[in-house]
Order: sequence, then structure tokens, then C-alpha cells
Amino acid sequence: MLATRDAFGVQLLKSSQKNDNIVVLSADLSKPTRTEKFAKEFPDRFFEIGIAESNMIGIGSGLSEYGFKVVMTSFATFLTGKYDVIRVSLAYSNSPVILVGTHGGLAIGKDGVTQMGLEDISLMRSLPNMTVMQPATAIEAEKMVDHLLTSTQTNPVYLRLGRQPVPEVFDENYQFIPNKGVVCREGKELAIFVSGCLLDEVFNAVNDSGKDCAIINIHTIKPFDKEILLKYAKQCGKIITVEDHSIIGGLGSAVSEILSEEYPTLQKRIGLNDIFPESGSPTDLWEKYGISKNAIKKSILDFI
Amino acid sequence: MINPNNLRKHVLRMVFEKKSGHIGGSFSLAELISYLYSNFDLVSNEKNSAKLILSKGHSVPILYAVLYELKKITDHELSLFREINSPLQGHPDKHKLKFLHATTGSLGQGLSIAIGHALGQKIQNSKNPIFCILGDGEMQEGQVWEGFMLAPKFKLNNLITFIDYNGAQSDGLVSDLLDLEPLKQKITSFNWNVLSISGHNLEEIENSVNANINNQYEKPTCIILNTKKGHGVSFMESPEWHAKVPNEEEYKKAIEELSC
Repeated sequence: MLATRDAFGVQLLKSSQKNDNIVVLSADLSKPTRTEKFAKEFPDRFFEIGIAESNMIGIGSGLSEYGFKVVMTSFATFLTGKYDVIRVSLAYSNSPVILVGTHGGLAIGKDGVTQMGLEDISLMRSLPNMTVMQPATAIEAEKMVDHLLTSTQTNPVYLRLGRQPVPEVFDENYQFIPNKGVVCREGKELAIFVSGCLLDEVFNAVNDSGKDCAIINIHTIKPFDKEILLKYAKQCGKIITVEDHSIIGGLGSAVSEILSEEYPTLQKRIGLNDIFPESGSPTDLWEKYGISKNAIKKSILDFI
Repeated sequence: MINPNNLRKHVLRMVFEKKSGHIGGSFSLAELISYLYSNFDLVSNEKNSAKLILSKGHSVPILYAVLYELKKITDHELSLFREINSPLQGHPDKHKLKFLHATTGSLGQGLSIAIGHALGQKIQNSKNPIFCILGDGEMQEGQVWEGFMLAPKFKLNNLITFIDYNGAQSDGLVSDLLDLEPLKQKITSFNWNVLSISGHNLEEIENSVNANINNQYEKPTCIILNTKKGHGVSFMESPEWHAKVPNEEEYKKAIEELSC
């Protein structure tokens, strides 16, 4: 099992061996954000800024004017802490950089609330020009990162990654298609939209429930694949959203915004319910705060 | 050489006509902007050219004034200052006006952007200067000091940062609100080249830039410009002219004074 942050680090290194245009900025956390190997292999293209995320973000904005593929990493919550710098120097400036926030969600576990990215999707999603992406597994992360590093960018991208290893759901034939939801399981009774590292939990919950649920993985939260959402809203009539993130402003909100305007559908949001959690093991935290397999299964059974 | 007082007149016209904008901090930069735009190509905006990052974005009228003086923006465009559908936004927007090199206005962010430019030029082995203009009040922002701490590490001798030390910020005097002194010592201790000159003396500006750009010590340079907010019009040399709009009588009097 690999974490999405691991897959990011591996693919960053691989892509950089073919492309000498990739530049990485670091705010001290090259080990946990997995840019350390890049730093060792390409010291001329790696810039240590120190524990100064605002400065890093501004420098990335300036550097992006010179045709480099600029990658900046830190923990998600340390990046969103510099929101106005992201707003002005990246989003309003429309700087084509890749801003990587790792340690998304409760599942970082024992380090506790200050290190958890719990509102980053809400904040990033509300910025014009900003694309927001979150892979579910290592294979999806690898394909997504390859896409981001090889395609021409015209706007900033926020990439949210997880700390914890996750079971693989896809195989090497998986093809990353930008902006498109991925149907992982067909079903008629209910559709579950999930983003990020909970995909495997959702699979287990559905299997345990014995219900005929569709599972759709959303790797790109903004822009949102409206088409797939409306299709499954019409097909199933009931929607559950699942994310390791606040239920305010994240995937759940993105889904209800579209549904309420275009095809009002009953929806249940599973995520962190407007509360600061605590330290603990990932599984204990998911259990206590209602995002575990059991909680998802209960929601499925209650809802159908 | 561009006449600084012509720039001040254009600034006055914009602010007077639209009844909004920042005169004081634009006037304190008139000599610097005249010098920079007379001596460097700051309008072609190619990858391989000098750049100017105006971190104190509220002083953008002085940039619109110089672009107008250089005939890069038209009389009609100048008349759209701060209006709807205009390239001349209240604070600089590099996408709406292609001659600008950074989008700024939230104080404290420009030095980091300038460091990014200076680094980008260095990686490409180009020696084009990167100029950054900070306000003195802006020095109270923490991000500025992150930039001051970092730039010497990367030996950015292509970076020249000016501090418009006009002594006033929105609520009053910098020295009353949060004093910066001893400013020169602070920045020197961050391992920069630091000069303190008159910001209204073209010769001093020219000499200090020429002596330090791409210096052999491989250090970034900070030039503290001792200026007066509202300089050029006697009755505007006071903190109250940070964002004050002149009435018709004041406007006429100011234009008259600038035409002498």
C-alpha cells in the first residue's frame, strides 16, 4: 500500500528525469511531502525557502513567468493559512503553478488538529482560476501528477494528497481523464460520490451493506463533472457524498450546489461535521467522527 | 529623461477626475519612476527583460502616468482609471494591462514575487535587473521579512529593492504607528547591500543603482529612498494626502505649482 503523497514523490522524480523544466520549492517539509528525492537528484532545480510558506508562494508566482513548471509543497493547512497570498499572488495573478497540499484529512492521525488539512478544499474551491484535484489512490495520483507535469497549464492547480497508505483500487490500465468523474461501481439504488483516500472504505461499506450502490470517484473537484453527477442523480434518486474534509465547502457542498440548481435530489453528506477533531489513529478518528466504513454503511442503510 | 512633474500632473488628473486614488505615495515615487523608465526597458515585458514589481500597489497611478507619458496607454485609457471595463484597475492587474509585471495591492507580497523573478532570470543566466518597490508602512508585514531573510541565500545581485520611506501610512505617521528604525541596520543585518539616499534626487538614484546592479559581492541591494509623501506640491506634503482627493481649487493650484 502506498499513500498518494508517496506516488506523487515517485512520479515527480520520474517526470523530472525526462523534463528539465520542473522546479520545486520547499518550505522545509521535503521529507513528509516527498520532494526529498527530487532535491537530491536535481539540487539545481530545488529551492529551499525555509519555513515561510507565504514567501514560497510569492516566489512561485514570479518564477512561473519564466516557463518553468513550478511545484510547491507543504501541509495543506499550512498553505491555506496563507490564503490571501494564494488569493492575490496565485489565483488573481493566474500563475500556472502546482500547489501541493499533503496531510489532507483526519487520517493524518496522531499529530492532531493543527497538522490536518480540513478546510483546504473549501478555501481553494472558492478562488477564481483555481483548479482543485484530489487523487484516491497511488495509481490515480501517479497518473494525475504525470498529467499535470506534462501538460501545458494556464492556471494554478491545487493538489490535495493524503499521508496514510491506502489500498489500491485501480490497476495500471487506469487512464486519467482530466475533469471527469470515474465510475468505479455501477448501481441503481443510491449513488455515492467520493473524493480522496476514502474510496476503499466506500467499497467496503457498499459490499457490507448488500445494497446496489453506484460509486463515483471525483478526482477533480473544480471544475466539477456536472454531467456524471446529473446522470447518477437521475438514475439513483439519492446521493451520498463522502470525504475526509469538512462537510462545509468541500465535495459535499460542490455536489449540493449543482443538484439544488439543476436537479434537486436528496443528499447525505459524510465528512467532518463542523467540529475540530483530535489526535488518534486514523481508524479511531474516522470511527469517532463518522467517516468510517461503518458510518458509511449505516448511512446507506438508513437512506435507502 | 522623463520629467517627474509631468508624471505628477497625470496622477493628479486621474485622481481629480475620478475622485479616488492615492496621490501621496504616487508623488513620492515620481523621481524613481522617471529614472527607471528612462533607463531600462520596462515596457516590452519579454521573458528576457528587466522587471518592476510595485509591491505598494496603491501607488499604481504613477505607473499609469509613466505609461501614458511613454504613449503606451492612450488618453482615452487614462480617462478610464478605476472605471468599469478598464485596464487601469484601482490596484495593478498584470492581465488587464500587459505592461505591468505583477498583480499586487494586498501589501507585503511583492518582494516574494520579485525574488521569484530574480531567481528565474538567474536560472536562465540572464543579468536583467529586477526592481521591487516597497512602501515603508508595508515593512510592517511579516512576509516582507521572509523575503529579506531569503534573497541573500540565492545571491540575487540582480535584485534591487527600493523602500519608499515617505514616513506616512493610512492611519498616520509610520513612526507613531509602528516605527521601523533602525531600518538601515535591520536590513544590513540581513546581509543585504543597503544604501540610504534622497528619493527625490535623480543623480543619487542613478548612482546608487549603477554602483550596485549585478555587484561582485553577489548581494541583493536595498535602496532606502528618503522621500516626502505628496512631494512636488507644497501643500500636499503631509500624511493626509495618502488617499485624499483635491477639490477644484486645490487641483488648479497643484497643477500650477507643478508647471513652474
